[in-house]
Amino acid sequence: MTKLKQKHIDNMLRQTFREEAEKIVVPSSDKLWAELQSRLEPHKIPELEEQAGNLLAKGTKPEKFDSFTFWKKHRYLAGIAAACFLMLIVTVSTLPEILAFIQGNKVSMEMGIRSDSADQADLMESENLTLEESFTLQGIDEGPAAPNNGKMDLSIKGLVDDAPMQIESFPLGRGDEKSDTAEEKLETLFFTDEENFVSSLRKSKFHYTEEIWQIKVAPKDFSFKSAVITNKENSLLNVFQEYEGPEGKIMTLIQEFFNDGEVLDSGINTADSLTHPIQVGSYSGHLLRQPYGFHMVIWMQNNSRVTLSGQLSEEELFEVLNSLEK
Amino acid sequence: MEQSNLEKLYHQHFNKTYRSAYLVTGDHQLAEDAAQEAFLKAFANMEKLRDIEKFGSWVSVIAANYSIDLLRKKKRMVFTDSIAIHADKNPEASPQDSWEKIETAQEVRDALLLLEPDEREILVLKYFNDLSIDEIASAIETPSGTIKSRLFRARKKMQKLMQPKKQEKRLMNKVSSKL
Repeated sequence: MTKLKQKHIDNMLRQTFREEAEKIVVPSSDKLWAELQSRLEPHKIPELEEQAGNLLAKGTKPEKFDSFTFWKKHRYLAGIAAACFLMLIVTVSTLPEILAFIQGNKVSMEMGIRSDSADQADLMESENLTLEESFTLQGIDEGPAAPNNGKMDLSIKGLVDDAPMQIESFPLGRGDEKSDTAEEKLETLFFTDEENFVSSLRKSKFHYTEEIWQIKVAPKDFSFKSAVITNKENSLLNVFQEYEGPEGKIMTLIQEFFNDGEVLDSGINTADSLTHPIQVGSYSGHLLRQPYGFHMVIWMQNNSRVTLSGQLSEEELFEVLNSLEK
Repeated sequence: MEQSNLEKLYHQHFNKTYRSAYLVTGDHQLAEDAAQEAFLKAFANMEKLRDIEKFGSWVSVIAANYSIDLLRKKKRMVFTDSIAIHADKNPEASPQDSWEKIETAQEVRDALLLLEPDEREILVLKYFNDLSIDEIASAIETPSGTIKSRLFRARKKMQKLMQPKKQEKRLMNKVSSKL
């Protein structure tokens, strides 16, 4: 007998309570407040007022930094931060080997020399290797030779010492790519003016056959807040659009592009009871109904993944979806 | 006229408190009584509260707890049944999918009706109010272990209550596919 998973039941309970709660017609609290007031002992009211005042005063401290909300809002930054973090881990984890190498670890020196047979003569000259140079040799050992190691040395040294990285010049190193093409740079264009963004996006679209979307009609009371276009080596990496609504509500449209041969999936757990299959134009996607009125539609295109999400009702989300413009 | 501090707190937390009480009792009059009593009790014991941010969850727990007392006096529990409004808006979903979803939602409601009030209360506090075990325990002044076991019991019961229907449905599907 297949048992119902507890997690599945938890999700169903959350959803059912949410749906039930939405249907409850709550009576006017003004009328009930008047009734409650009459039940409070009059001589105690000033004391209770003071206690409530003290608590409210204590409670008006600055809003706590909510990391979850922050990263949800700035997903593009999360990607960059994750890449930085990964590079830092790789660098730190190889540090002992570098130090051992400097201290005369002949074995690792020989491995380094063997790995680059074409430059054997050069390596023989490098008996007095510096920290940076020895790391470069380790790098070579893992992949084809880099013709110019000077820049790579500097960036790695920067990471080890004090990590002075800028988004504009952050070098990406990927395990499955040749190191001689590893000087990839991210170019991040940040917009707070919608017209500038649309104009830039239009220029980008010109070079692509892939459908690139932009929000044409925002939900009521929502307005353009910011947008980011990120390019890598003159190719689009992602397009991020953010709209802000009343009470700090946020709506975002993110389109992440991937290179030929790169396989990405929607990252959606289709077994989740909050996930529902949906057709977006000619693409298959998923609708996610999450707690607190947060809805998300995600679909995969030929070379990109598109995510539209926000604290919107389903109707509003579908309206935005229908208004998306290529 | 400017609202008093008590009034501010009341209006700010009334809706959630009322809804919590209604989810436990399924009765508007009982929910209203429970919410009013909860605010009276919360205001009277305000010196015990250290953090104003906890006021909402605190008063909700009191209301849910008080709902059980009221329910015991007047045994009644009804959930709304307007399931039609939950019809799936997914245009691609087949009528079968939509119906299964509605059926599942109804199964959860049916199972909730069969729970003891204190079991339903713990599920409301956990899954509707999103409170942790410790928050519930401290508000009801009950050991965390008791709350944990009550929650465990309620979840297991839900699982048992829903299981036979799932089995039944699977068998029906199997039979209908062979026909």
